[in-house]
Amino acid sequence: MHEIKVGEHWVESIGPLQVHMDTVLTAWLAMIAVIIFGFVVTRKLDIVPDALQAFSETIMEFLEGMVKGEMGEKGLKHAPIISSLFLFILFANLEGQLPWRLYHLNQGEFASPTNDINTTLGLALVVSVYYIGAGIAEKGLGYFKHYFQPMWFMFPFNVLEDFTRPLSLSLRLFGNILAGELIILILITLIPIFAPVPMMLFELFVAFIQAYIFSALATSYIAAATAEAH
Amino acid sequence: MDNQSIATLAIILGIGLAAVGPGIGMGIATAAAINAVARQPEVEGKARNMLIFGIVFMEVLVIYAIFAVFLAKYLFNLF
Repeated sequence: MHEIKVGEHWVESIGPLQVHMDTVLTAWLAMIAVIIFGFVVTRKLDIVPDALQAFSETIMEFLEGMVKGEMGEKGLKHAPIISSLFLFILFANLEGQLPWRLYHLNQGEFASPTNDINTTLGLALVVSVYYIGAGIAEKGLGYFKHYFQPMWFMFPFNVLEDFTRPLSLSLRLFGNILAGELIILILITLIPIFAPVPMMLFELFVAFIQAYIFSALATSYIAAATAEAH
Repeated sequence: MDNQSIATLAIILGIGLAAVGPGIGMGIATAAAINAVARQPEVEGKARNMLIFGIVFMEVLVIYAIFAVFLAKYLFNLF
């Protein structure tokens, strides 16, 4: 029997910082998974791909196709960050369905690193810094002209948009993953055997959808920032 | 009823009511996408993409409600 606790973490103080150790450790695990995946699929590259290479090429073509569809050929320089975000979020979300509940911590428990608002807000801030940076790199100071378009009095709304974008990006990912885990937790509390299994399978699907949504929205933000002004 | 149970009830009702609007919106959007694909099957990929994008912006409204509830839990120390 589990107690239902929301947003409890294994907190350690390191110097002046309060660190959520479970989030940090599982985020490292996701990063290690991405690195190992990237290392394994790029060994023995061949003109005639084997199954693993074909699989990784499918993923990359899908992501590059998404970037190309939004920004055209010249947007391909933004493909690496979009792909990294996609792969990290995908592995981070899928990690939540590993059998972590067999291992008990004193405080909180291991789960997806994306069920912590700090992880998702970090990722969203990376995206907002990146798209403002990409806009400035593309157009110089002319980038800031778009704040006064289409009319000068739209300025407050355009500034507000820069704040609501990371807010909605981070809350969407966080809310989806946390809600999924809560529902599984409630089902486990009610009927521990077999009942949570369909929900867990659905969460695997949600993991892909959320990773796709996050990277697609990041792509469209970068596309909007680097687009030619009219 | 004491304040604690009124607050708990308010939270439960709040999430339920917040889910109503986006639920209706998602239904309308999905119906429109199905109509579009039935009328013109070759736009299926494009329609699916647009549907996912539209649904994402509706879904975030419910997630704001969930977030507000968690925030209320921490701020006012409920349930």
